[in-house]
Amino acid sequence: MKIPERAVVIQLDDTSPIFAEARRSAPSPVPSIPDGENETRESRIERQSHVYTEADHAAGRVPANSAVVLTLNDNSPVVTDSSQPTPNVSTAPVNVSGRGFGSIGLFTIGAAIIVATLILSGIVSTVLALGSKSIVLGVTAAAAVVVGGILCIWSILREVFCYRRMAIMDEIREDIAAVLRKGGKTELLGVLKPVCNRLRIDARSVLAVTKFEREALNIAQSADLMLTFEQHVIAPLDVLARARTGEAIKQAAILVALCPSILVDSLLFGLRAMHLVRSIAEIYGHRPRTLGTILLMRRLVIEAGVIGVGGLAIEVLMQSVSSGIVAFVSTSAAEGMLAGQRMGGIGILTMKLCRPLEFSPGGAPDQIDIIKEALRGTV
Amino acid sequence: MAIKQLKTLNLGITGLSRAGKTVFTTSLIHNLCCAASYPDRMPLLKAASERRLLGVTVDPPVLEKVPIFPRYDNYEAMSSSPPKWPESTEGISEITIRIRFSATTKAWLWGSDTPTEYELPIRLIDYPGEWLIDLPLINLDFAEWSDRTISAAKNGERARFSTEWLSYLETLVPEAPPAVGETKRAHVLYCDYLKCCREQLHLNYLQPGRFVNAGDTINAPFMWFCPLPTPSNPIHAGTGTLYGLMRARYDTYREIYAKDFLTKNFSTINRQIILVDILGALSAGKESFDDMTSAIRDICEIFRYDWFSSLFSTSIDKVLVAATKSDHVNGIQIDHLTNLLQCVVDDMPDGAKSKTATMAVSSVVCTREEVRDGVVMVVGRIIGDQNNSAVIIPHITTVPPTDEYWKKYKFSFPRFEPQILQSYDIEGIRHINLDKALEYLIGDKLGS
Repeated sequence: MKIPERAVVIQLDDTSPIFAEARRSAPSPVPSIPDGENETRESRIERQSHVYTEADHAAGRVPANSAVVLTLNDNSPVVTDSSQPTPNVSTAPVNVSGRGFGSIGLFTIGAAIIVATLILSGIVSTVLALGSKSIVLGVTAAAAVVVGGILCIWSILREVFCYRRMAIMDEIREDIAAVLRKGGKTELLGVLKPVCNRLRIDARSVLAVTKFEREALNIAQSADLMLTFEQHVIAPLDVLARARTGEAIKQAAILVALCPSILVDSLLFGLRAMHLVRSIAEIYGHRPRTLGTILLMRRLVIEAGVIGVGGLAIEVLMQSVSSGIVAFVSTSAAEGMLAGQRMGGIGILTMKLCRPLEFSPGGAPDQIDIIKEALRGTV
Repeated sequence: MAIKQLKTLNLGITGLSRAGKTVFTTSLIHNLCCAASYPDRMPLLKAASERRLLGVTVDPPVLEKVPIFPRYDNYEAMSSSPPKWPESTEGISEITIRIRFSATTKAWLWGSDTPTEYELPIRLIDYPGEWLIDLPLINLDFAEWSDRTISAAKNGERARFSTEWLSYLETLVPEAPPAVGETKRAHVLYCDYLKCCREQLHLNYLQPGRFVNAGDTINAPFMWFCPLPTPSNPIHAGTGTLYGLMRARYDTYREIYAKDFLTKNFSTINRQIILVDILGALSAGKESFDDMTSAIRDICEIFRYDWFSSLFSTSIDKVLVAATKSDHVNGIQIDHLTNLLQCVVDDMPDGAKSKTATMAVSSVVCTREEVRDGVVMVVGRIIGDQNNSAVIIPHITTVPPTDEYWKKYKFSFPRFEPQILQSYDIEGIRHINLDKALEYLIGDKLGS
């Protein structure tokens, strides 16, 4: 079977429930490896995957939980053009097991349980020891442990709650994308409602959300509704986030330029970056506590290749275009400018992660524009 | 602050028969008048959404030679008990509204931008769509038009109603001098055939348009003509013969109503909206839908091509084709309606000056959407009923239906009565995309 050029093929293993379902419901049995032949990666993909056609889809043979459905018709040049050579199929493994705790998460929870058990047993034995010496002391110690325990649990629950709030935003973004593809206004309003509730932060945002909710009654199509939501509710938040990023850029540039020690530089930069991340997250309705901020920082680090590449490009540009000016300006000032540029990258990335909606193509703020806006107030 | 007067914008409102022109114009005027105090009713009109709309007034009648659009009568019909739809457009009428708004004037070189107040007069010109169908006659001589019309009358569903007229034509001798009453009888039978096509088959492409909707047309002898089969020897069908007389009358009609009259109106119109009742055409069947499609395409093609602009010296730079009564379908189907209309309009060669856009609108929402047992339904009062009914709306295709589709499915979209409107409700009339249509047509003039 030739794999069409536009096919998206999922590399599944035999234990995957989706593959098992696909195999049970496939119209033809999956061919096995011929004896004596070594299976190549491409032939294994070919063996394990199945390309569904329009007829399969119409006949209901496509499994309901299929991750990918290919729609080919008789007019597709890919199907009829048999002269094309089979392309190299490269796929990335897809985690089809859905959301849940990864192995690191499970390890962390297990370790936390062990530590908590050890600490608790130590506390209990201490309280009992104190109680055996004096009842008053024992009761006081027990009360302190209870109060401390309640405070700890409350703090942990708050962290988990805030973490979950941030994770839900990812789900909401996916839901919005799905509804825009298939659903109508009612479905979209249902998905936007929790977002609107989250964004009632201050008087200005409450006014914007209320205005949007009134206008939504008079908008019929989901595309127009989405546009109005973005223009009236999200756009003002973007302006605030850009302003915070601009402030952070200026402060980072000055701090790094003035600070003589590299270690102190890094520490101040890191703290300022964390502060920026939290403030941007708050603008978009999150309430990042420690766990939430760690999550955000982790995701920022994962995406940091973008910042690194961007920073390198700016450095090269600065060297090539303004070598005379840079030579004139002191090294500290140049480092400050670079730190500012990197802080701008962090701000933009945080906006992308925290924003309830994905930026439209070309809609993400430009680093250069934010830097110009930041400098406009200074110069 | 001094108010800057802008040049009057002439907005032509037309549409095929029963498309909802009267209701559209009434709703447009009322909603604009209310938009300054209740802008949430028009969120997609940027001037209203940005709270720049300061007020809308309607010019009182003074010395107009053209009838004034009867907006008060129309509104009262919809707010009476029981409410009913206003009377259809029978002739041309117009009304001028003035929109006062503020916009920021950009500083030219230095200095800050300053807010300025403007007033934009908009002249709404409402005329029957049947008269628009006369435009293609300009390029058709009598022989071509006759052959085309007679050929269409012999085929399809039209053949059921054209028997009497065609039979009478067979008794006529085109090369002979006309007998007394011959031309009038042929004309009357032809008009009856056209009216049957409109009433029974819901067809729209019926020419000449004034035979179907006379309006203020005088029933003079030059109107007593109809298509005639081209004689085998045209030399013998000159002046003095029946054929020659019919041809002369056709040319006179073209001169007076197609060229002269429409030239006067189209030379002034800047923006045009064409309303189409696609749901009605789908319900009436394949022939009606194809007929509507041909009519819309020919009309749009006229607006798109340079020769039209040069002929009428017009500057129509925006045309909006709108599918009306979109409140009769549920949510996502409104997008399907828009796609279907876009397919109808798109399937023609690229034009020149005019920009054509499509959208689905509803001037007065008379239904609501409900979900019962997981099924989305449209609830409203069907025409003739006293109580509300819940209707499951059939799926609307996003591309023009094929022959196989027509054989397999039958569309049936009910007609709904209007909901009772509050007497001069200051919050405006519930609509769908009326603001979006206005934003497309006049948004740039309002500083958007």
